[in-house]
Amino acid sequence: MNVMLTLIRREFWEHRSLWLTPLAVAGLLVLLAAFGAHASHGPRVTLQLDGREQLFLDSLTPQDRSKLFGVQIGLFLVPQLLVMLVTVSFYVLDCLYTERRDRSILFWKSLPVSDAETVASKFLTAILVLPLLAYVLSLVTGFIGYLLISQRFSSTPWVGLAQWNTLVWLRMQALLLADTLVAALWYAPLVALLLLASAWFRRNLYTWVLLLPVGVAYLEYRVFGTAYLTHLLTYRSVGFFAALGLHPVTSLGGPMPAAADLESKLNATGLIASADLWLGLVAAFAFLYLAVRIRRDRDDS
Amino acid sequence: MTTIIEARGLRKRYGDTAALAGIDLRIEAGRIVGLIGPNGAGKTTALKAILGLTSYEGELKVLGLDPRRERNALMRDVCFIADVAVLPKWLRVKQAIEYVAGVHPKFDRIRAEEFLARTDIRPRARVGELSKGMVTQLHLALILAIDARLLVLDEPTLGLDILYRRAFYDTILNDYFDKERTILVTTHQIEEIENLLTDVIFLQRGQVTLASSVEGLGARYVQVVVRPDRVASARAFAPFYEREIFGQHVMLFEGRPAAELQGFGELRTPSIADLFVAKMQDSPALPRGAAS
Repeated sequence: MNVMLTLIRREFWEHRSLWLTPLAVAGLLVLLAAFGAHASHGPRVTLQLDGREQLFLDSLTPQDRSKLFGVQIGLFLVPQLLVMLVTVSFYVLDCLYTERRDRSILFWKSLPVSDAETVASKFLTAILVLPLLAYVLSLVTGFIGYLLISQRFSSTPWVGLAQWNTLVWLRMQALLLADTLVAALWYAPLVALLLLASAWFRRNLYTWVLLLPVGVAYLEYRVFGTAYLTHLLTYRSVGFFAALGLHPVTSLGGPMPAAADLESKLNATGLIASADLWLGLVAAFAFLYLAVRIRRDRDDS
Repeated sequence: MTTIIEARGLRKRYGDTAALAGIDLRIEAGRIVGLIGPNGAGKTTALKAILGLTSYEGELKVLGLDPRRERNALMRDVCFIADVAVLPKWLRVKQAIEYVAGVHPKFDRIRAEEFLARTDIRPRARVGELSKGMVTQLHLALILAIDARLLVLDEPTLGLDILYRRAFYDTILNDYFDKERTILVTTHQIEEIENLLTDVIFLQRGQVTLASSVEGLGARYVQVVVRPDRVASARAFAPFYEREIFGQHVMLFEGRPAAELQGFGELRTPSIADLFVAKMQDSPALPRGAAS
């Protein structure tokens, strides 16, 4: 297990963006929270609402308030996860490709680490370590964000909107952690597929990865008049967010879900029961197996 | 004696060309073996097969293991420096030590750090910031601290200046080599390593053309600086190589007792470099050049 830890640490040494990016996002979120808290305290907001805030606040049930609190906490995770999707994609594409380009694969292979261990360390970094990092950072920034907002609201009528609620906080954290892990399982086949591409292509990796699916989808459309590949890739890419009820396409411009049902919407654990998730995992293991075989058998360094 | 490497009928093809055309090798423990051959002779392919980095046909056992299927286990007892370019540029010196300490059960971290302390290499430096010579020193520091049984060096001093090259081999000999360990080295700079080799293997177009201990060479090969008046009679003894420098004829004989050749001129044991050139000139594919 010690070996696996060393291998995962190695990934963070090589790909500094893996920890720098989530840290930057966390810093930005805290800044936004500080700035936002400041702005909402300004005269403009007060003017706009013009005394009706008390009316609005009175209309909120304690349940609504606790939900608002939960949403405040939870919103710190979503940007982390979205940015992480990009970071992880680039990382996974790069990791088995660059070691052959710079011939450092010969150094890594001169040590008693199997190809399976190497591929597993990269997969685990992408699928487990990074999502957990995003989760922990969102937990910390969410807490800091809460402190900033509640401090700004403390002497205004809005104070009721930022009431600490330990029970809701714990429930929210458990839910977000579960969501993070479900997201990891859901994206496993895509991550494994990109790892396979990283092991497979000898040059022009990014061109291949962009053009191949587009080309195949186009051919499929021209020859069969169907769009299965497009549907499959879209489903595998946004399926998780769809399960969250936050379909990135349909929810754009549409009404924001009411605070009351956001917590239930933020629950993606239902995906665990879906056969598609498990089929995806089977595919992921097949892709990983191929990536290991290619790294072991290919001799182009 | 323990056999470290044993190959029988080792073959490897790249498309139409045979990189290894069925070679037999036997390397015993405690030897320093030079694998010598021109470019494209199959040296690197042979090393890759031995290290389990490439597929092959034929039989091959390294430390009693199948390098292809048991590479992981094999690498606990085998160290390997390909050439200076393989340490990644982003790696920091202390990370390199940390990493090897984390994955290698036989790595002695203190030893590596002591070795590095004697160099100008800063622990915080990245490989990309080091000179070629320093990268080799770093790699050497890592390798020397691993208690391995077989060390494989593929052109380890390529691109280094003479000071680093000399220091490299001195360190290997003084700090690393002992009777339990075996070193297999390929290089173009034969002159530089010929004094430290105990055995030589010449590879030519995927085949072994000579495999002998260095002591054995003296008994088998004789170099004669032939006196001008004896050239014709010396040729009658069928030298396999002859060249003329400053009017002197130098001939190489194989398997002739020294007594037979005594009368022709001054007798010497040929250097490995001389033998190598002679053997390579034997090949019809190469220009015969100075050879008569």
